[in-house]
Amino acid sequence: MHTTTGGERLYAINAAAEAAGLQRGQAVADAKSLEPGLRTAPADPETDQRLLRAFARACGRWSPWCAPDPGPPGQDGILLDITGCARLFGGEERLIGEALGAAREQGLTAYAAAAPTLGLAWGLARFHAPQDPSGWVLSEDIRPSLHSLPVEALRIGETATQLRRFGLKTIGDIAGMPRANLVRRFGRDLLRRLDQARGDEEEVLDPLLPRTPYRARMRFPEALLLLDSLKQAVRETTHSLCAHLEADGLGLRRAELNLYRVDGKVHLIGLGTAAPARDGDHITRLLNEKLDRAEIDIGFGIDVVELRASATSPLGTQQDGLYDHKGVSEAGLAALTDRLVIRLGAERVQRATRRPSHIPERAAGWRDGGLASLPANTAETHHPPDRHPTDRPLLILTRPEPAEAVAEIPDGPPRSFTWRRIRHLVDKAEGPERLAPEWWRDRHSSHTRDYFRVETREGRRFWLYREGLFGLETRTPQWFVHGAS
Amino acid sequence: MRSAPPRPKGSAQLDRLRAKIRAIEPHALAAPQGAQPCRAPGELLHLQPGLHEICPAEYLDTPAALAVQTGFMAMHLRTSERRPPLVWVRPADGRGQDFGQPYPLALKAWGLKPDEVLLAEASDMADALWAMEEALRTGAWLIGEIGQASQYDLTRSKRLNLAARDCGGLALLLRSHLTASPSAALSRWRISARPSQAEAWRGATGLPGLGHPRYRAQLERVKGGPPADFDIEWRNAAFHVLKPAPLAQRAAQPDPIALSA
Repeated sequence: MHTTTGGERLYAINAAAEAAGLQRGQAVADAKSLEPGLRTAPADPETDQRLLRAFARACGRWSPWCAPDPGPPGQDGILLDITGCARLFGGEERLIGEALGAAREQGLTAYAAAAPTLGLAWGLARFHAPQDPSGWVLSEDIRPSLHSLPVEALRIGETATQLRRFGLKTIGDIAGMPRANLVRRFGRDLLRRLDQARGDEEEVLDPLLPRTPYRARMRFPEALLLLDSLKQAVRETTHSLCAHLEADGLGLRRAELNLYRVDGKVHLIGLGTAAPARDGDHITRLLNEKLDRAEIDIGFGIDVVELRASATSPLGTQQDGLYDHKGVSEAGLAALTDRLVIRLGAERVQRATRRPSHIPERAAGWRDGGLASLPANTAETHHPPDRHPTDRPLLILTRPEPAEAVAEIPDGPPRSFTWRRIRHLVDKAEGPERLAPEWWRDRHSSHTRDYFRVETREGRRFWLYREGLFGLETRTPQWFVHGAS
Repeated sequence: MRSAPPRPKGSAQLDRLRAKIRAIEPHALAAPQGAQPCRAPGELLHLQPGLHEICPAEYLDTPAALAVQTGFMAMHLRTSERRPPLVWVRPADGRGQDFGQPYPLALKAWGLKPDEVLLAEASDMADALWAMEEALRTGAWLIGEIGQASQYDLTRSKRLNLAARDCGGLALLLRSHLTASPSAALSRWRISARPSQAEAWRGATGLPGLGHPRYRAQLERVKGGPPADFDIEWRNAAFHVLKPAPLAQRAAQPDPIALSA
């Protein structure tokens, strides 16, 4: 039930309620008076949509082209383009039977139809399949089956009601009518839908998953229950995908491993590589590591393993085993990066980066290096001119820490400073190096910094700065320790 | 004729055993133990492929030890025929990062090319040790910071040493100033900072400037050699051994008589 302006109304009903004469949209109070045993629950369209999406995702096992097709309550559907897929399952009948069985196993009331056009299949599944004892229909011929369908099967919404007012009940009734008249009375949409159902106009399914030309999949009659056998399957799949990639001179940048569970759940494992990779063993190793880390719930078993190459880039053929064993090839380093990324995490494997700024903590740092060389990122790497100062400390604190310093004169170097409760006597110092705040970025509260390189009596080196120009920006300049070497 | 005494037989067995070990580990018995010539400090600065440990003498010397580690690595990288990539493994989230992160702009002054460094931060020590070994096995050279991790033991160090040696790589590990547990490292250095030579002409108001950084390098143990102790200075992208100051000019040394008086 759901609440509308007219009070609580029935949102969807089951077969028993329908048999008792209840209807969708009926007020709950009326329905309860007709059928006192009626049990209601609040409608949750969002969850319905989520489930529909999840089921559409799981339908990927039958065809890579699948999409959820949300409809009015109780009329949701899934669209599948099974062109060329049927032979993998022993014919269209068996494919439909299998898909329908999977849906019913999940407790859904489901019907199915297969037809040469999307529009026809849509109508057949909703109006003919429920009448069929098997719950599904298969139509090779467009016209006869189309003409026997009611006008509602055209996906035209309210227009169907108007058509009925004119006594036009089936599609066959309107099929022979002059097109100009139909357009004038019922709008262009009706003709478009009719043409689509007849196959005169093309209708393209918008698939849930992006189109990936490179995929490899394995299907098992018996579901895999053990991680080891799953890994073996992943291995086989990877090698077959790599063979495809090699034939076309491509390397893998990003991949998705889809594991279809028997009960309709799909596990997705994503993978990125530092450089185009095509070495089956390497990719298998990365995927296995991911599998170990993901601790996926195999449940009642996994019966379809699919690896999709969602991003590829050109990779020339390579000769194996010729480079010096002790040397490190580019590929070797990329492979190492991949392994580190998988185990430590992408943000933990870093490469030095420089930014156009003179504030030390901004001027240089470390950033994700694992996937940094992805083609999309290379364009944005901008290198400022190479004139950075050479006297920076080896170690820099990510956040400068306040220190108490004693200086002889307000703008002179510190003679001693206390940092982390340890007092250091300064014997040598160089500076100041004055760095103004970046006015285009910083707030007004930030001050000029005067940096000093100092060496303590023991010979330890620190990098300190005094923030704020005495008398101009602040009355009490504050000292900070920013680095050590 | 008396039969041969049992001793030659035993020594033949020993020889066979030595040959066996030599086959497994070519470097292990390269030179007989005990009679090691004292090597010059300059020679000691050339590290053999394998694992070497560097420890600060005190907690506050940690940056100095890291600087020496970086300098060592740069010197050896420069002289290596192929330019292997460098992997820098350090613990993540604050532990062992008391003095901050390596600063890319400073790496150049220490002889490293920032672009060649791959920094890997590991959330736990098991991951860090795994990453170190993985890097060495790939043929990369390694700067590692392990602090006082208990997971780093004799077995672990042996694995790292073998991984580095098999690929002809250099692995430099920074340990904590507190630890002294045994390991299979080829050498262990203890580093402390030393005051540099004052450069009066570039100092700040009232203070002299900083000279080339100096360190006291104590070679605590080295495979097949006696320990050594000398001062080094980082100058022109290399470490130079400093001659001990003549006795007459030891200004920094306190006068023992004056102290007792």
